[in-house]
Amino acid sequence: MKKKIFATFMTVLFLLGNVFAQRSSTITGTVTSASDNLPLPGVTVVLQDSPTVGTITDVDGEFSLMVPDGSKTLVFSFIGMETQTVNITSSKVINVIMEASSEMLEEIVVTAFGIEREKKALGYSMQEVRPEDLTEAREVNVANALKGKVAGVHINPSSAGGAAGSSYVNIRGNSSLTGDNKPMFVVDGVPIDNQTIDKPNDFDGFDFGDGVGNINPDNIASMSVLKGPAAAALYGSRGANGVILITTKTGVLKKGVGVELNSNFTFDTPNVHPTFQNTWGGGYDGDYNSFDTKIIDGQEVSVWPAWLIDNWGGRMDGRPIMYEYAPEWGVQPYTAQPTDNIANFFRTGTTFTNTVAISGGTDRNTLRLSLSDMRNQSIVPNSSLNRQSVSIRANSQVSEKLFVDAKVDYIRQEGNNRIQNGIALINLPSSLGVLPRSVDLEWMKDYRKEDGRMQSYKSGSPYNPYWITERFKNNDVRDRIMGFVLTSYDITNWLSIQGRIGTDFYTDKRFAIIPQGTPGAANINGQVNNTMWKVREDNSDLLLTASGNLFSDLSGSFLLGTNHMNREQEVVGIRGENLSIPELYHINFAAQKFPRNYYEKKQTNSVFFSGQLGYKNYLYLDITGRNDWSSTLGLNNQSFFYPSVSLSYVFTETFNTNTDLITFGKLRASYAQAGNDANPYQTKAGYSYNAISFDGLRMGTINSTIPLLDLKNELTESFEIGMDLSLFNNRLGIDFTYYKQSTTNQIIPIEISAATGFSNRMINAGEIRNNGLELMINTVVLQTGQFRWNMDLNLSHNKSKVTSLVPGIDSHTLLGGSATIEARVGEPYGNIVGYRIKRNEAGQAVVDENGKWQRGDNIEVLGNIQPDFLGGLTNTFSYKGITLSGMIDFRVGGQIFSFSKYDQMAKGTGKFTEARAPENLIVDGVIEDPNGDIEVGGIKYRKNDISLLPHQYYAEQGPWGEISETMVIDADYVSLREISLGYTLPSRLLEKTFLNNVKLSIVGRNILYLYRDPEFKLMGISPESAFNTEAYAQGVEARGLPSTRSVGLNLFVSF
Amino acid sequence: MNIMRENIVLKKIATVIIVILTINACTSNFEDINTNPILITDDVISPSVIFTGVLKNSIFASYGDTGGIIGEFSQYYASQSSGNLLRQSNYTSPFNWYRNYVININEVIRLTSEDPRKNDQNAMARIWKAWIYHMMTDAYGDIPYSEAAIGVDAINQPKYDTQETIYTDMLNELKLASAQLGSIGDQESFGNADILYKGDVDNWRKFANSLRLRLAIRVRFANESLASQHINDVINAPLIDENSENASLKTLPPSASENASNVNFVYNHYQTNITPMYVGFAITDVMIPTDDPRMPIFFTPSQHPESPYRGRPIQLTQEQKVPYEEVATMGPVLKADTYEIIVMNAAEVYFLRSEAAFANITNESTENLYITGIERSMEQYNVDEADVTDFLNHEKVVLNGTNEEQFEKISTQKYISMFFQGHQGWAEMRRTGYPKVWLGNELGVIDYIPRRFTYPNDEYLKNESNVSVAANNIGGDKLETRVWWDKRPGLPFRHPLQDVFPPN
Repeated sequence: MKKKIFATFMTVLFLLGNVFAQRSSTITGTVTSASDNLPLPGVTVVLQDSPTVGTITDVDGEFSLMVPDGSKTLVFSFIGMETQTVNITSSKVINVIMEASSEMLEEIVVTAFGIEREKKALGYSMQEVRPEDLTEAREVNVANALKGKVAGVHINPSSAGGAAGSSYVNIRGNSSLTGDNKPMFVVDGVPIDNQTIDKPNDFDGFDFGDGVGNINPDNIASMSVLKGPAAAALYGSRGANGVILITTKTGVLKKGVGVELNSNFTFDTPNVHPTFQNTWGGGYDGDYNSFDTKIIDGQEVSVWPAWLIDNWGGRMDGRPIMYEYAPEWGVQPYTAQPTDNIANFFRTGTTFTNTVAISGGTDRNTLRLSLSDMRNQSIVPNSSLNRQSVSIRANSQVSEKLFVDAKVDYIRQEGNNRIQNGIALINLPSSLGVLPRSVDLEWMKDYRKEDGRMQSYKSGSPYNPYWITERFKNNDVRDRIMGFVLTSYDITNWLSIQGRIGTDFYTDKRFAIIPQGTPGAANINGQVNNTMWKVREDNSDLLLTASGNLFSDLSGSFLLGTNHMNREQEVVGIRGENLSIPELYHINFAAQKFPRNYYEKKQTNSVFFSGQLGYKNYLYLDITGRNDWSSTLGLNNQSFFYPSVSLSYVFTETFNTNTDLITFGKLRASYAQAGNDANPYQTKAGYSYNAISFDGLRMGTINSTIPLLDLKNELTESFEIGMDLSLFNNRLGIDFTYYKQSTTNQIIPIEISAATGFSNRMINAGEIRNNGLELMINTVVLQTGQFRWNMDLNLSHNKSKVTSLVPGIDSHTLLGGSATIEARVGEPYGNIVGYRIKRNEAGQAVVDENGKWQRGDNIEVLGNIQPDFLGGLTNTFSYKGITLSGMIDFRVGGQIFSFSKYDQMAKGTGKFTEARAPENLIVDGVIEDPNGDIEVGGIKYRKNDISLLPHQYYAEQGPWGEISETMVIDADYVSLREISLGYTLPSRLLEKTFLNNVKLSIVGRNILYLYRDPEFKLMGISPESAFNTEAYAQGVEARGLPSTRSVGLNLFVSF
Repeated sequence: MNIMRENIVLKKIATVIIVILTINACTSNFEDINTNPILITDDVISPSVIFTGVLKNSIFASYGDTGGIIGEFSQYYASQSSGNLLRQSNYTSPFNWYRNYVININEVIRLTSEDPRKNDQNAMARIWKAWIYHMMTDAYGDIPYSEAAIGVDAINQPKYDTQETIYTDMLNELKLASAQLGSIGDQESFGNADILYKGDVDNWRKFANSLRLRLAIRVRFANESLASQHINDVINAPLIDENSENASLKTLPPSASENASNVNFVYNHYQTNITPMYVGFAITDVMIPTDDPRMPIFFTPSQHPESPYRGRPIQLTQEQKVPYEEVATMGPVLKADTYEIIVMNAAEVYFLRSEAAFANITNESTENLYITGIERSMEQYNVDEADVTDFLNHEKVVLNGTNEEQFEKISTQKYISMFFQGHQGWAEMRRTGYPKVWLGNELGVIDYIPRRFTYPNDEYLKNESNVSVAANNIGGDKLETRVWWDKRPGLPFRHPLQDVFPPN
C-alpha cells in the first residue's frame, strides 16, 4: 500500500515536471454570465487535450492559465451552464460568455451510501453545507459550526467549554425516550462512532469529546444533512434520527499538483461573565452572629467559621475579619472583592490550526495527502487540547471499468487537565460561583497548606479553584483510524458493482488523579484512575447498481445492496485509592484497587434496495427498502423491514414556462420508516457482584433492570411534503418542508415502582410524535456591478408530543433532580417538572402566617426543554474579492432549569438578592385570614406585610423551600454567532507568482448575545451550554464554564 | 491493464460478494453475541453470595440511618446542619429497601426453596425478610407486601397491603421459619457467608423468636389478641438470653486497604470532618437525671459548665441555637474504629418480656425482667457492677409508682438499651410515648415528631392508583397520620418543659 502511494506520488511529481518543462504561454480572460452580464466565479477552465492543465475563475470571473505551446482548445464548464469549448488563437486573451443550461439547477448532491443524485430528483429534504462555513469561522468541533445554518438542526456545545467537549446535535426533535436522538455521522460512506464515552452527568464527570469532533474541518469537501427518515431510509435501523454525511476531499483529476495551506489562529475569551452582589457577606439573618470573635493585638476581629458558605449575613462593612480555616491569610478588612475577580481567573484561550494538503493526479490516478495540527489552550489555566491528523486519499481508474478508492485518516488527540462538567460543588465553575464575595482569589492562589491539605475559606467542599486547576491532573490520548477501501467495477455500461470495507477504530487512554490532601475520606490520600477504551466499528457493504433509459421518456436506476456491521467496545481500567507515597500517582502505590472491565459487541446484517424511476425531466419516483437483522433484539424479533417511497415533481418543466418569475419549482412528498435497535445485553436476566467485598466475602445482587426477552426495534414512521422554488431569475430561493413523524415501540427501561424490587423494566411501548416546518430562503438582495448582497434565512419549528407510554404509567423521568425532566403522556417531550410557589386562584402568592413563602401542593409542569423555533440569518456582502458575512442565530421558546440561579439563590451571591432592606423582604402576597378583606375563590385573605430575613425571602423562594419554579428561565436568545471578513486576492495579482489562490479572513464566533432572558443576563450566564449530549441535558444549565467568544484569522493559500 | 488481471479482480469481487452474503444470511450466532460476559445467570449464582450482600448492606443501612433523619427522630443523634425536620420531605428510604434488600432476600428464598438441603438457608432468609419488612412498614404504615418484589415477573404496580396484614404475615412467617429450622437433616450451611450467626441454627431460632416477640409487642395496642397469641407462643421458646447470643455485626477495622463502606461510619466521619456529630436531646434528658453510668460510654461530654452531657434539641430557631453550641457529641463506643452494630440484643428481649408481663399477657415477673434487662444492657457495655447496683437503686429507676410511671420506666430503659438503633427508637417512642421530646420553636407542619414518613413522590408517578388508595385508607398521606399499631391514646405527650427555654 505504502509503496503504491509513494509511486503514485512520484508519478504526479514527474508529470508536473513535464508541464513546466515545455515551452508555454499564459492565457487570461474573464467569464461572464449571459443572463446578467456579471462575472462568474468558480468556472473550471481546462485544456481539452490535457485536462490536468486547468484552473478556476476567481470572484471577478477572471482566470489566468499557463498552457503549453501548441494547445488547441479550452473547455469552460460550470454547474447550471452550458459547457463551452473555445479554440486557442494567437490572442492571449479569451473572454467567454456562458449561457444558462437548459437543465437548470442540476445540482448534484450526495445522498445515502454516498450515492450522487440530482437534487431535483429527490423527494425529501436535505441540505448541504459549504466547506468554507466549517473552516473559516472555525469551531474545533465541526458539529458546532452547523449551528444556525441548517433548518431543523439543533446544536448545543458542551459546557466543558471551548475545544474540549462534545456537541449535541439533533434533527427534527427528539423521537426516542432513551435511544440515541443524535443523527448518525457517515464519513465517505463509512459510519463513524460519535458517542461520548463515559459522558458526564448533571453532577460531575469529564467530557472527553465525541467522534465528529475528531474530524479535521479542512479535509471536508461537503457536508449533507439528511434530515428525515425518508432521506436516511437506506440506513434502516440507524436512520431514524437523520444522517449527516461528510465527504472528504480527494485529489482532483484535472489539475496536476496542488498545494493548499490553511492557517487559522483564534483567541478565546469568555463571552459571558458571571456576576454577583457585592454588598452582603457571610452568615444569616443579616447580622454577624455566625462569626466568632477573637482579640488579636488588642483588636476585636470577626472570625469566619470553617463551615460557613452562605452570604445572608451583615454588610461587608470593612471590619477586621479572619477566616478560621485559613489563618494564614491573617486579618483582612471585610470588603467585597471586585466582581471581575472571577473573570480574572480565566486566561485568554488560543487555538492554532495549520493544515497543509498536497494533491495531485494524472488522468487516471489522484492522490491527496493532508497534515493538520491543532493546538488549543483553554481559557482554564493548564487545560489544553491538541490534535494532529494525517489523511491520505488515493484513487485510481485502474481500467475503463475498474475504479479503486482508498482512504486512511489517522488522528491523534490529546487532552490535558479537562474540567469536569456538572453541578458538583467541587467542580470549577461551581467553586467560582459560590465564592464568598469577601474572599480574594489572590489569597486562594497559595492553594496548599503546610500539612499538604487544601487551603480555602472553608473546610471540605467547594474546592479551592486553584487546587482544581493546579493539582487535579488528567490526560487523555486518543488514537483513531478511519478509513475505507472501495472497488467498483462496471460490468456493462448500465450495470456496476461496488464493494466497500470501512472501519473506524480508536483507543482512548485516560488517566486522572485526585490529588493527595483533597477533602473527603476517599480522597485524602489521593486517587488514580487508569482507563483504556477500545472501540471499533467495521462496515462492509456491497452495491449493485443498474441505471439507464428504459424507454424514450423513462429513465431508471436500481440498486441492490448488503451491509454487515460489527461493533465492539471494551473498557479495561483500574482505579486506586489511598496512595501511600506523597506525590507519586501510580496505581502501584494504591492500597485499594477497583478494576473495571466491560465488553460489548453488536452485529447487524442488512439487505437493501433502492429503485428510481424518472419520467422525462420532471417526475421522479424513489422506492427503497431495507431489512435489518440485529443481534441486540429478542430472538424472534431480530429481523425487521423498513420501506420508503418518495416522489418529486418539477412542475416548472411541465409548463415549460421558463419565465423570470419562476425559474424552478418542485413539489415533493415522501413516506418512510426507519428505526432504532437496542443496545446490547438487554434481553437476559441475571445477577452481578458488588465491587466491594465484606471480610473477604463477595456480595451479589439481582440486576436492577427487568430485561425484555422479546425486545423489538423502535419504529419511526415519517411523512413529509415540501416545495423548492426558485424565483425572479434565481434571485429568490425558497425551500419549504412540512413533516410528521411518529416513533412507536419505544425501547424504554421504564422506571417502575421501587416496590417491584427493580428500578427499571425494559419495554417496547409508547409513542412520540413530532411534526414541524422547515423553511429556507436564499436571496440575492442586491446585485449591482460587482457588489452582491446575499441573505440566507433558515427557520424551523418542531412540536413534539408524548402520546403514550405504558398503560398505567404517565411519566418517564429523563433526568431526576431538583426539578425533573420528564416525558409525560399528552405533553411535549422534556417537561421540566417541580413545585411552584403556592398561589391562590387570582395568582397571588399565598404565604404562611409568618409571611413566608409556601410551596404549592402538587408537582407541576414548569416548562419544557425544547425550542419552538430555531433559526439562523446570514448576510453576505461581496465586492470584488472582499466578502463580509455575518450570522445571527436564535431560539424562541423552551425553558432551562438554571443551577447557577439555584446557587445564587441558595448562597446569597446573586445580584437579585442585593436588595435586603426590610421593605424589600416582604413577599408580595396574601395571608389566609377569616377576617381578611381580600376574597378569592371563597377564601379570605389579608395583604401580607411581614418582612422576612434575607435568606427566608430569597433562598426559601427557591432551593431552601424546594420551590423549583423560580429557577426555570426562558431559553430564548439571539446570538451574533459569526462574523467573517474575507479577502481573496485577485488572480491578476497572483499571475506572476506561483500562487493560485490566496484568501485571508478575519473571523469571529459567538460574538455576543443580542438578546437573552434578563435573568440570564443579570447572572452572566449563557442559555446554551449543556452538561452532556443527551436531550434532557439541553434543559439544564449546570454551571458550565463561561461560553467563549473566538476571534481569529484564517489564511488560505493554494498553489 | 490486461484482461487476465481484470478477471482476477472480478473473481475477487465475486468472492467478496459471496462472503458478505453468507455473513448476512447468518444470525445463528446472534444469541452468543448478545450474551454479556459478566452476566451471572440464575443457574450459576450462589444464594449465599446474595445472602451475605443482603445481611451486610441492610444491617449497615439500619445503622447508617441513625446518622440521619431517623436518628434525629429517635433522638439518639442530632445534626448540626439539618433544617426543619417537621416539614414534609421526599422520604425515599427505607422505601428503596425493596430494591436493595427485599428483592434479593426473595431471590435467596426462591433459589433455596427447591433444594431440601437448603431448607435451613431458606428459613434464615424468611426470618431476615421479616426483619427488613418490619422497619419498612414501621416507617410508612401500609406498604406493598404481597405483590412487592416478587422477581423478574414483577407486577409493575404492586398494591399496598395494610400494616395489620403485613404484621400478621410476618409473625406467622417467623413462627413457620423458626419451626422450619433444623426440621430436615443433612443441611448445607451458609457457613461464613452468614455474617450474623455463621450458619448457627440455634442462634437463628432464638433470633426468630425474639424478633417475633418484638413484633407482637409492637402491635399490642392495635390487636391485643394477635399480640398475646404470638407472645404466649414464643415466651417459652428459645429466646436471646445472653449478650453472646445478640444478633449483631461488627464493622471491619479501618486500614489503608479497607473500603470505607465496611468501616464504622461514625469513625469515618470523625476522620475527615471537623463538624462533630451531636447527641439528641431526649436521650440525654432521660439519662442525666439518673446519672446513668452508660453516659460516658455513649457520649462525649461538652465543655458546658453545668450540663456537659446534655444533647441538642431539633427544630431550634437561629436564636435558640446559640445556647446549644456546647452539646454532647458521639461517645467512645461509637467513635471507636470498630462498632458492633446491634440488630437485636438480650436487654431488649427482657424488656419485651417485662412489658408482656406488665400488660398481663404473661405471668412472668415484670420487675425481675426489667432489672435483668438493665443488667444485660450494662453488661453489654461492660459497666462496673458497683455502678450498676447504684443505678438500679436510683429512685428514678426503681420500678414503682403508678402503672403509667412503671410503663414509662420500662419503655425508657428499653429505649436507652436500644441506643443507636434509630428505627427501633423512633418506633418505640411513637408506640409508647416515651421518652417525651422537647422541640425548638422552628415551625413545622406539625409540632411533634412525625408519626410516619410520607410515601415517596416517585410512588405518585409510578404507582399512583395504589398509593392513592393506601393514602386514603390510612387517613391521608401525612406526617401526622398514625400507623396501624400506633394506637395508644393521648399521644404524643408534651414535654413538661416544652414552654421553657432552655429546657435545661
